[in-house]
Amino acid sequence: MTGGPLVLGIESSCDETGVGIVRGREVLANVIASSVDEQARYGGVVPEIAARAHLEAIRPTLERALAVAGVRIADLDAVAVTAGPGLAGALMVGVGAAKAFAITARKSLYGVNHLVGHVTADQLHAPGDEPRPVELPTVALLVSGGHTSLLLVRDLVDDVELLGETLDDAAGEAFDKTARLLGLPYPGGPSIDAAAARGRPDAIRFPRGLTAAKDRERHRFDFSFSGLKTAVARHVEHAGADGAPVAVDDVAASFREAVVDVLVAKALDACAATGVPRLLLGGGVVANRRLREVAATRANAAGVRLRIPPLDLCTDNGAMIAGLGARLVEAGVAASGAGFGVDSTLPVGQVLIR
Amino acid sequence: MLLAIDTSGATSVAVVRDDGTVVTSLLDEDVRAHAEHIGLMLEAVLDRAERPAIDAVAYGVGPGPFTGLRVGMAAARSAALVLGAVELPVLSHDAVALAAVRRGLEPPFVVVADAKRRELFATVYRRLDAAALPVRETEPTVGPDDRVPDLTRVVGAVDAGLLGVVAALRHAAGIPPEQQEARYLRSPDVTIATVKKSVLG
Ligand SMILES: [Zn+2]
Repeated sequence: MTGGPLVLGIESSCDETGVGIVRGREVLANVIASSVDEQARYGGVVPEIAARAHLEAIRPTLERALAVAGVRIADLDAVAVTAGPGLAGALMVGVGAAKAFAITARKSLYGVNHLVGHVTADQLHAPGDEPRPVELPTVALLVSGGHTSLLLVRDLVDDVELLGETLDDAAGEAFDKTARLLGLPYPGGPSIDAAAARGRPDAIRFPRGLTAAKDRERHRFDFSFSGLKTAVARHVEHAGADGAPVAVDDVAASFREAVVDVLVAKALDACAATGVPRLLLGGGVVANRRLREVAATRANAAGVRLRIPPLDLCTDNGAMIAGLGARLVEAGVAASGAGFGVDSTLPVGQVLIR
Repeated sequence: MLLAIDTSGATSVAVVRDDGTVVTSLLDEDVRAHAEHIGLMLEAVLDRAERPAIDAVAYGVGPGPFTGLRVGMAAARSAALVLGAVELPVLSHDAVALAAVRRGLEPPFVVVADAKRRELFATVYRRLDAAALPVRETEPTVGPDDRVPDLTRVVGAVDAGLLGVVAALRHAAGIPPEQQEARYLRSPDVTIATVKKSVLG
């Protein structure tokens, strides 16, 4: 259980600088530096601020991960780095660091897909814990401030299919924007969650994007949150015009319910349509308790087995990137070489960049 | 032996001896593909120098376009960690100034570089120090053309070889290195990331 390639993974696609080290599927280190506090005053991720923070954090984060794992650079088998999708300027910091690391340490380098990294998180386990059995194929729902994607994963290394994704805002972004409308702090996920706990989820019926019969033909597994955001804005405006205070808790609870409802309904519909009775959740929005509850209840009712990795492996992190690198090494896949660039819109079907 | 990296404009990687002689230096003028070039050039330079023992990594801290600048800085810091080498940050314009002096130009002069938005990065050099290195009169500035001091203008790509020479000679003379922070000289633009077609983060 302690075998497998020793891989260091670097993640810098959004606002977390992550460095993880795995041995096979065992997580030896998972160190994350976040610029979320610097972003808070702007109510969203500012790419230039994120990129500056990555540059300052990258070396200390690498050093901490190596110290935590207690491994020597010379003992590593490979280095993996997120090549996309993500913010180009942010990705470039990680790729620059990873290339220099791999070349000076004379290790092979894998430029990998961030979204497939999220899926890999499910297979990782803490040192001393029982390995988690690999359950494939699976439908995977990845929800964060940057992405909302529904995947069918038959094989991590060479068979990941995009079923659908958001056509506008990511779900986490919708939380951030709605929080701002309601005067709640950034990031929106936790602050809306806190307000929603005191509100009624059925107080206001907000729209469920792309769930109408006419949308189901072309966008059965796609998401759209811009209509929901507009509906919340309109509601807040009307309440203000009437002179009545906005029932922030009720709006938060009803908004959250609409998001969760669409996410879970589409994910379980994908399980039904593909005949795959397994659903994996990933991404930072998984921290949302209501999402986990609704997914658990409805998956159970639908006879779908639900898997949710521990939260520190759900948010953006380097361990999942290292984990994907380890899988590629195990599968005997040739490394990326030194000449690849970042791809901010790397398609999910492309697990490795060259 | 020093490894030197600069991506403040072009991409350049070099290996330089402690006495300030250049072993090998590569420069790619493409100002768009730093992340792609840095790996291949680093590999080529280290191989060409026959993988020497490196005890210092010099790197340009700008000024220059931010996105590219960071690629080289991140690479240099990570290389220094792996190699157990000291970091020797260098103001990128110092290498351009040294190139000018070696071409026979005498200070005073001003090194300028395009800062976009109809502005220039500018650094004024007034004299040479004991090691015959050009000495800055002021820290670099960013501003419109008409604010640049009326001196001979020097432009040119930053050669990591000369950047390494500056670092090596200063190090040998016991002059402390620059602050390691990137010389952005501008506050970050505040535009919230919006995901047009899914996919980031
Ligand atoms: Zn992510």
